[in-house]
Amino acid sequence: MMTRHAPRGPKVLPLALALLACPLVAGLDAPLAAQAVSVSPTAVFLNQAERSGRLTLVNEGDVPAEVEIGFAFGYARSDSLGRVTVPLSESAATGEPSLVPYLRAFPRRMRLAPGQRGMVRILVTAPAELQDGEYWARVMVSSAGAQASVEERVGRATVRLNLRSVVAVATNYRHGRVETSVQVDTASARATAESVELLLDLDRGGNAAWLGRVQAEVVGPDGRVFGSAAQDVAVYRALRWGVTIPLDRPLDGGPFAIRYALSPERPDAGPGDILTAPVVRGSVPVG
Amino acid sequence: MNRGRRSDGTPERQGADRPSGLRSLAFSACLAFLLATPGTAQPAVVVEPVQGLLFETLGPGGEHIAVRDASRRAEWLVRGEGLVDLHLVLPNALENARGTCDIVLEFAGGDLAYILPGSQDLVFADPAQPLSLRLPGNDQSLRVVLGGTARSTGLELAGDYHASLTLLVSPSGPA
Repeated sequence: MMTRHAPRGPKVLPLALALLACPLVAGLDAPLAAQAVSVSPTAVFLNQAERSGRLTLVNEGDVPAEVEIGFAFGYARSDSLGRVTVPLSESAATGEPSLVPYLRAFPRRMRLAPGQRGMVRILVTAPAELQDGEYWARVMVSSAGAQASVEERVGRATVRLNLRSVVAVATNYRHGRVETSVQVDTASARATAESVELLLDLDRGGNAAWLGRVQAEVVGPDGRVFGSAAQDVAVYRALRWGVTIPLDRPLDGGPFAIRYALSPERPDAGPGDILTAPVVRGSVPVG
Repeated sequence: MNRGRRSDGTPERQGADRPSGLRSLAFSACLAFLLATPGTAQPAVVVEPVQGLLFETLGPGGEHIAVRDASRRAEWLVRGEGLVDLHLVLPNALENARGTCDIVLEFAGGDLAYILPGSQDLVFADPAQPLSLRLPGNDQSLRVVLGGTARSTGLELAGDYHASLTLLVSPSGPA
């Protein structure tokens, strides 16, 4: 079955395809009675002392939802233009720190009535002799409406197109001694009419992902700030990261530069979720 | 942490004067509430299917549903905050119970679009490529819409045909 979309080779998204094999029917007529499963948190951090975590699922819709849990390997990567995507695959390439073989979920399937809340426990069963470092996976929460669809008659055929959704939750497991850092290999900036585009080539050190925040501001020759922006970023390996800095006022005069800082902090992260690392600061002229 | 301590740092004897039954009841109620309530700081992603593709006539010539056709295009709402990666996993065909595919489905470049909160404008995209978008938070929904073409193989159609359209949302900002 059934995809024509495999932009990164045949291994991409096989898990999603496997989930599609489950013949759940959501309906065709418009509008559907909504099944909308909320998944939180969107990232889970585990370690040797805390090998289990939980996901909270809430059916915010008004029809029952069937939920299925699976696993995939993947992390944020970028292309030459700094576009970030998360390619997912059932198995990881050799040398990749995949957590998939060590992940378990309880339960793997559940049915949520409208308004009902469910809990999925995620458990890591990694052996003690595992090499130190951080291991990565995505927990795939697949949901579809559990009610039979209203059928669409087309001639003598009945056509049903099911709508499904999958939310991939990042799951990072830290084993033994872990450390991380980030460095900026190259930085460039160019101005457009209403913004300045900062492009950073980032490289990660250590044996764990660098999770943090990029803050950048456009400054004039007298130190005046013409615009600023902040973005969360996850650097698993090398990453090209673009930041659009909207301008508060036009760039007149010059020269202008961007001052940036990469700091391992997240306002919404739990204690211990973000590994400590040195703050990296730099500046680049606006071309 | 200063939970369980007075402002002067000495341990607080919470509920020391209450009957123990009441205390344990209060504790149980608090525990049940905590277990039942997700942390308010925990970010969530919600994907809400709104409607599927609505084909009306299928024949050798095929039927195309334009992504602008709000009454017949497929549609999902995505809520959350931060950067997400969106993939569509789309079928090649509608299958029947015998596993034969008499109805081909085609999704071309431009059959996918998204609509930002507060906007009516369609931003077109290629359904074969992943989309990287920033969700605005504040319970605002990003609208993902999809058109497509169904084409029968010319055989006489009868029976049930089904397929799944899947939207995969992978938050890439938090981790």
